[in-house]
Amino acid sequence: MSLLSTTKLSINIGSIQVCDNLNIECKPGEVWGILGRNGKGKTTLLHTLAGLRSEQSGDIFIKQKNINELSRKEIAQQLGVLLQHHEDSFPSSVIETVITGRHPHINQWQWESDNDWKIAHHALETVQLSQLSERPINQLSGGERQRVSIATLITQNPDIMLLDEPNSHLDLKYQIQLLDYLCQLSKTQQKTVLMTLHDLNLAARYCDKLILLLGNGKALIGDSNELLSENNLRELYDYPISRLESADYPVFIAK
Amino acid sequence: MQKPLTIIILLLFISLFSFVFALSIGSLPLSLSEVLQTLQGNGSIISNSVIFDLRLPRAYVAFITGGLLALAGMLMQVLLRNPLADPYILGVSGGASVGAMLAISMGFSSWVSGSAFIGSLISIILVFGLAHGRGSWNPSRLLLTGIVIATGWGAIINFILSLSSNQPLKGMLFWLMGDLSQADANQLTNPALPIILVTGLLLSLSLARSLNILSRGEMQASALGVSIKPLRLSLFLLASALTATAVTHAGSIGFIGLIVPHMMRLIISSDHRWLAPASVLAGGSLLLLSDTLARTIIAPQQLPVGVITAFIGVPIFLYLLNRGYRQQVES
Repeated sequence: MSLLSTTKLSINIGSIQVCDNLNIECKPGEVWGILGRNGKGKTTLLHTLAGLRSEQSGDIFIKQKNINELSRKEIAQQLGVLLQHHEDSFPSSVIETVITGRHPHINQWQWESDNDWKIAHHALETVQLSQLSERPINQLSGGERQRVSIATLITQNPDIMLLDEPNSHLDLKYQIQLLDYLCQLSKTQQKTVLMTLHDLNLAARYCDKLILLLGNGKALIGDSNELLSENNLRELYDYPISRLESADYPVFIAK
Repeated sequence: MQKPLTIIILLLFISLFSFVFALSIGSLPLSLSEVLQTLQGNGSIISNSVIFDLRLPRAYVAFITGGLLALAGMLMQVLLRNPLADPYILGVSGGASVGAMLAISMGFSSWVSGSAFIGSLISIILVFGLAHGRGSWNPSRLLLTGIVIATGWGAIINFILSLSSNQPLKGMLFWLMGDLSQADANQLTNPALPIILVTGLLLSLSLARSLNILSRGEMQASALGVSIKPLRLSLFLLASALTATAVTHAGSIGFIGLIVPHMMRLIISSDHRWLAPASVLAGGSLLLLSDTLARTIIAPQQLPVGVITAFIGVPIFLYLLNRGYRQQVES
């Protein structure tokens, strides 16, 4: 059974065609990457898959149910998104921000239970920010703020995790730790992870499947090892890239 | 005990104290026991008349108006996600003021409230229609539409003021600065005000957790399961209705709706489940205390209550703001 799938999905932003008749099927335990040049619609595709953008043709299914037949709350119980931009007009504390991840799981008049707080604190531990839990979020560095958002997503605990540039602002150590964690989560808890990435080396190391957005609606979909050929990458990035084979996974260098 | 709950209880006591204070001071000072006796129905004829005809109706309208304004301000701030938003920012009070000015200038003093209400309704519909037309309904578009409409109302108000003769001018100016002296004993039996305040508070509480998430942006709120369109619409209508009610009863009293929600964010929490009731109690108390001072400081002369809310509110707010920043630096 696929957790997230599309049939004949076509998306346009103005005159730019992001994808045309895109069919994907994300199964439990799979990690997907979306690669493409700037402005080719990686984020738009991600937002559309999350149901945050409605102007499109074709269908999106979450656990075989059409996304249009699900309420926002039902979607949020199954699918979580890490957004690229954070808006903090009225600062609250780190832990108050992380606990918002429980929102789709709590009824309207209910307060967060002890268990919800436990989940939030645990997520904060996962991103190694426990010592900052009472700090107002507008005082965090970019990388710390990004980790708070990741903790919010972990607190939401959806089966489908969509992440837009999860590595932005993160130190190398946290980048690897985060991707290790997401991969392990998808394998042990049968979740699907789908993320936009810029780093080919990380994509090759962590993604099972890739979507390469070539522009003009063309997209290549398949196993990451097969797709990451020098020919495909030259077309994808409009720049020559060398692929070197190392012991565990290939390494990519711009020429 | 939880800290926010302690503060709510404290605010309840402050509200109670504000009422006793408002009922006891004035040209005929009454002691606490006289006030209590009168409220129980055992007062003298004079104290009966002073309390039930004059002070209680005025205190009652002041408290509820303050609560309405603070709550509306809190909702506007989260709707527009702008700390400078207040209940009047989208032009509701401008429309109400034009209605009231027209009624005063034509000498229909009994129509002031009614035409103010109609004016605010016209303004709400206008802003909603224009901002909700084609295309997306983002906060900056709503904000700009509201501000432009409010500026338009401002021009009409100045136009009416400059054309009116001296006699109604003072009434108009008092109305514009906020005026509670019109409250009479009939208000005590009119259930509209408390019903609107309590309904507004309950609706805000039912939305409170969604509001916490909306503060993190519409996209994030949507990603966490909040249906944005209905939430935006309910926020706009609720805030507008609360503002229209307040303005209709007391003119455009400034400051409360802007400052009280910020004060409460600094004191209690930015969690709207605490913020909403705290704002109502603090807004009510602040307006009630201000109005009591406004009518007694240089009695028999009365000051517009807006002057006093600013005199009390500005230093308190600056102190809290400073303390907030100091705590942040120290932590």
